[in-house]
Amino acid sequence: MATLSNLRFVRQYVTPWAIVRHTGKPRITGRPTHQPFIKKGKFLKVVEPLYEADPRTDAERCSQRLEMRQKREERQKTPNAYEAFLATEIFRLLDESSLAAVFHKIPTTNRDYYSIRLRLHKAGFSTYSFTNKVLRAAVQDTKYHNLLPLFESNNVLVFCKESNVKALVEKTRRLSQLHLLGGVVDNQLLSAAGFERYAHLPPLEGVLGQLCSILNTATGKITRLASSHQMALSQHLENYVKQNQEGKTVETES
Amino acid sequence: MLRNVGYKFSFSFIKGGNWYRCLLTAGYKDYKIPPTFDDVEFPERGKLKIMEKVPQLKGQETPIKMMKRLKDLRGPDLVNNKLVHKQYGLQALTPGYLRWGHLEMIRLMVNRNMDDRRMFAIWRIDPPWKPITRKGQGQRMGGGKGAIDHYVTPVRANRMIVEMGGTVEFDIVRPILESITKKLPLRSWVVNQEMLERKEMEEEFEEGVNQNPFTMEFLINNNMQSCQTWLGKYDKMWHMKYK
Repeated sequence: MATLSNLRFVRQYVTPWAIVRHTGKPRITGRPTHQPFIKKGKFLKVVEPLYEADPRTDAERCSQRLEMRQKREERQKTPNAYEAFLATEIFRLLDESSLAAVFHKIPTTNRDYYSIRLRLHKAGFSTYSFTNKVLRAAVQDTKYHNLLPLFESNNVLVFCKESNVKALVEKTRRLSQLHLLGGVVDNQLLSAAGFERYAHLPPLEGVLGQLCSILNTATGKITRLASSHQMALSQHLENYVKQNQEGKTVETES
Repeated sequence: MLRNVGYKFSFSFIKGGNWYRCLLTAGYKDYKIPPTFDDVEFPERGKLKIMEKVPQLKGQETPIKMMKRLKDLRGPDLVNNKLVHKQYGLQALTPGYLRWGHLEMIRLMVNRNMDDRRMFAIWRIDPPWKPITRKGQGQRMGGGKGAIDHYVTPVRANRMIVEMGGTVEFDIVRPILESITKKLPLRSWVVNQEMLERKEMEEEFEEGVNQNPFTMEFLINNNMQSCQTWLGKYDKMWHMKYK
């Protein structure tokens, strides 16, 4: 049993294998072989940078999408020469056509879309597809600038020389691939509801006839009221004359 | 790619019993304008010259033996850390000794793979000048300093080793220099002027954005935890960024 009296100091003997050369020169080249000394390690840990939490969403933070987004923004800034030319063409089409309708296009097979375009072509409507960048450039700072909110997604433009709204609405009403958003008819901007209302209107001649009759009723009433007494008098006189003539003939016959 | 604009051709083909229509459309491709290299000045010798293995002695000079002088390796390089031609180069990230073999390897890799009509390359380091001594194998300690075995070029961190330029873009020069980085005894990377500038900007930005009030500079200058007792003079100078 070890007691205090049994303990005595023993000289520590360091074996030759533990002796290592220490030249006093620092190890500059080469990677670190072990963890840093505790005091240095503490300092390195304390000094680690702290950043604020990123308020951006995952999609905004993604570095792969960042490049794509930057390229997309660059491309969307200004139109190049060809796109500027296309923009002038679109403006010309808008000016020259009485009817210009903007449709939203649902992704569909080329075959189905071709058949739709063919049907419209046979009815006298021409279909066009442009990128939104070109459409926006065509319409910005012009009288059609209120069409800008429509040019966001997949768009298709339909033009016609005559304002054949009824035919267009009927042909496209049942289609699942095209959805009417709005457009320009006879230099007037119309929404989809406006197009429907326009389609339900009777023909122009009928409407003009109705207008004439409405205008006439007002004046007709006045003339009728003014001449009512004269008319009644003349009618009564006619009846009296007729009655007298009938009485004379009966007398002569008998 | 613009759809349904311009001339359109189509053809039908049958596959697996089904008829398909293939519509060919033309589009507009926006090609990037390539850069013009009007500012580039070609040096007289476009290729890397041979480095001598042993420095030439003048007159009656005898070869001197030198001490280890680790100060040649220590710390960042403050002078030769920029690009002279402001194009492309190979920069050392850690210190090391480059021997004649390494320099020959660099010279051969660059000279063989570069197109001297469009590109040029220049050395940014000296030929080996620092003598390294070695004692014979199995010799005991003592008996004087060993004989000169070979010469080396000490390279500090951030030093430019080789610079390339010409009427070429970075992607053409990069693989030539990347193949060298794998064979050097120190860590290095291939840079161009834009990358160097961006690195500086990023370091400044990170310093500004860091919310941690404790930086190494702050801890050392304020003698936190009485660190000045165990810190060396180079730690105080470089704030533990370099050994």
